[in-house]
Amino acid sequence: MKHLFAAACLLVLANANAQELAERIPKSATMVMTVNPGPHVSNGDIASIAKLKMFTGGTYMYDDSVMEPARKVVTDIFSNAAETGVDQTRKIFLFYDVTDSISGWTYLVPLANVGTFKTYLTTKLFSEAPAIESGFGFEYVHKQKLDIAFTSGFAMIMLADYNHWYYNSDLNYAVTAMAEPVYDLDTTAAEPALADDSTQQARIREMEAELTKMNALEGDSLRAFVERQQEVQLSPYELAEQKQEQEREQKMAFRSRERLRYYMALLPADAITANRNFRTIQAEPFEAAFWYNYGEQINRERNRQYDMFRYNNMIDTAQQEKRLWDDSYFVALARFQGNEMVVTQHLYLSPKTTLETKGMYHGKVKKKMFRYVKAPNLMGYAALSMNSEKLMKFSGTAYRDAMSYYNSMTQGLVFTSWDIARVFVDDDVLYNLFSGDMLFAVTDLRPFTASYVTYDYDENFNRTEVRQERTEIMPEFVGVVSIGKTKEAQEILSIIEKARGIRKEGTDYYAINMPGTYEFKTYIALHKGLLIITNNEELMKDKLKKGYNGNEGMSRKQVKAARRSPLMAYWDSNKSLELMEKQYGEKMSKREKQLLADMRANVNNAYLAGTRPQNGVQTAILHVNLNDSKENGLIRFFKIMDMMYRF
Amino acid sequence: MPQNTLHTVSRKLLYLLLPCVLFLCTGCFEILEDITIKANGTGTFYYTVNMSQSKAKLKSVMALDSVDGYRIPKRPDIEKDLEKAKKTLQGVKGISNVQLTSNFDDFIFSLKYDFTSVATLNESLQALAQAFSDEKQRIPGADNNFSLTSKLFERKSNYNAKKESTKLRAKDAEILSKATYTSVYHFEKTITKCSNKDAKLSPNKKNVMVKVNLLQLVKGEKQIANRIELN
Repeated sequence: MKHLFAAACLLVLANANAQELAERIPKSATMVMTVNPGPHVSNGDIASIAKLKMFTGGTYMYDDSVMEPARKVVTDIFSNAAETGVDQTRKIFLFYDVTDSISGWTYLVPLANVGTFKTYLTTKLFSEAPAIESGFGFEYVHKQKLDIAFTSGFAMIMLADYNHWYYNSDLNYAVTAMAEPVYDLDTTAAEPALADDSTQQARIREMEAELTKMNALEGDSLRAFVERQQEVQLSPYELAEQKQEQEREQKMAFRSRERLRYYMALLPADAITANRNFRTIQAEPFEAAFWYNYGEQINRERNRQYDMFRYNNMIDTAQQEKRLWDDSYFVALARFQGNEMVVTQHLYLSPKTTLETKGMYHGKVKKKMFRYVKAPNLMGYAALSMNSEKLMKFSGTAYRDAMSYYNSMTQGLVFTSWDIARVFVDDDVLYNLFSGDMLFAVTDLRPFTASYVTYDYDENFNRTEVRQERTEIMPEFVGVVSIGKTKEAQEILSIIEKARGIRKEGTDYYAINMPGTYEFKTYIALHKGLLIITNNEELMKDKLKKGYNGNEGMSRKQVKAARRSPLMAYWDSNKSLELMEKQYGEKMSKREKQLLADMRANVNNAYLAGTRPQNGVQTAILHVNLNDSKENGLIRFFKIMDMMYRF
Repeated sequence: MPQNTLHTVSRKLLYLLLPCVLFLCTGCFEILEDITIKANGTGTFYYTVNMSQSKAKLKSVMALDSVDGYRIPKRPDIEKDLEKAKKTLQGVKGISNVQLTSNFDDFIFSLKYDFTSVATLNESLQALAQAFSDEKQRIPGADNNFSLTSKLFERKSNYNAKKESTKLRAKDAEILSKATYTSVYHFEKTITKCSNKDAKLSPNKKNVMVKVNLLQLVKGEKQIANRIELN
């Protein structure tokens, strides 16, 4: 009991510490990754993961002189506590934040020993010792694109650059960009304005003072620069180009320093910890977590387009869309238990979407739909059960209203068709034509003969187009949709047949007339309240009445598993990889063969099970089962990711 | 949002299954450059990109937004760009009969036009490069690709293989290894000499063809540059 109490206290303390550290993350951050290295530090897992190619190599936006210290610091944070002074028993955060002028990834790292960290910065990280500045309650290093600020308890390491929109904007822009104007998309507001907040105004004044200093600095250093360059006799064009480049670098350094200072002095109300959902997920058990604030992301895009909205009198549209996405987040929490990786995903819906989509999920996909899935080579499937009336109303009203302005031509056609359909067919038929159950399965990989065009040349090299044949591999699939109004669906098929969209092949199924040169046929049939689409001719010819039974069909156990929730997806990696090896064989390159072998050695299968939304949160759990191995799940998961990355 | 969830789930499955099916189908494609030059210096330029051998893959890929970090253009985007190319060429003095053909069944895209001189041909290619360059990316190597004097036609290459090929990713190299670049030049005069080792002369010595593997071209192991001496 005493131990339990102590463990509980430790857990509370650990969360409190993490919470305190997370107070440095702005609530505007669109992505936050949290790593809880604690359980994997002492056994060396973290150290071996940090050495993987995906963390240490690869193509980056910067050259090696910039990336070398950036890679080193990331590797060292996770693998070398003694040298860096990082506290690896606490959570480490990585967040992405974007202002109007710059965007950057920032590591937020707890420190166990600031002296060690300082020594690391000055003697190990860079080839030349950087100058450490201090002020505003923290110490600071700026070197190339890296900005590092630290106190006795934590460090922030930022790699930032311009947003390309303001690539060439002048230094004066920094003042408003750093103050991050948040436009209120209220229809009654005549003009967008900066929030009238005294703290923010004080910050603007502070930055304006800094700007004056920067302008002076800029003048001085540029004068020295020009004098230096004149000595090496550069052309006026080269001189102007280099001067511009140096100005850009200085402006960038100024902006990133200001942003980092903003994080270091973040007000509690501006921190991500003010977000209840963020606090909730941070309290859940996980080893790695991903937070994506897509409401904020969309909102930023809209803010950028404010003038366009106003000009086109589209403020209402923007307002509707804003309400649809406001306060919407996607969260994934990963845990590794033996040979299994479990990723719990939460989708936080906005209040408007929660209201619009209430009751949209049914229960389970109809059992009879699984009869049409051929099982011996089943690679994977997705099954979804929804209330089609609610889904269509949501798609046809709320979503359409908000999105109409952005719709591509294709989507526009869909919505127009929807409107036309409502003229001819009553709402009941339209909403219930499909009854909401959908199943899509990939049941095999099979060869087929495809044709292609190439050229023959006569003796004077005049070309002639010739068509030749080759064997390709195609996935065999089946899609099954439940029909609510069979009679009407049959009538619609008859209309499509008259319009030559489909043609009768057997007594009770059609072949779809695909435009273009397709060498494989796709079939469609309406049978016992189900609409079946497949490229498996055998299913249409011989199995339409009863489906697949016995060894050919899915077992009871498999069907039961597939009907666990209204949203299921399954992937049998062993079967998929085995089929690929069989079908592609010697056609594979050495690299492809190696990847296939590595994948087969590690991954067994994966499935995703979702739930209906509760209190505005929809949860789906992804299970990835790995093959038995001496290495633990965390290391193997990252090794698989690394394989994919290297491929 | 269920709409979103649907999207997420279908994408998830697609991403789970597609790599298995697609990564082995690294496709082949052909690029063909065919120029006819008359004795008076006028001529016809024909350029085609034939991705017919990869059409099954392309049809699947076009349903996605991006693959391997590359944005996948949608059919309207491609059509818009082709129209832009046509308008750009029509605006170049000395260029006429601009014909663009797009075949989305076999994924073959061709461009054909007449030019009044090789200088005009160069201008047209520069105009195209300029029209499709932006702040972030300038299309390189489009300056003065061809030159013609009374006894010499030159196909130059401004591409810096040494510099560019180091940026090549292994999986991109694999795709390029299955692709070819063919250049064919037709003259009214007879050809006396070609500098390109891979050049083939027609029996009447008025036509020359160079067909190279695109990966070798990108790596600088093979060239399309050719000095063609004419009678």
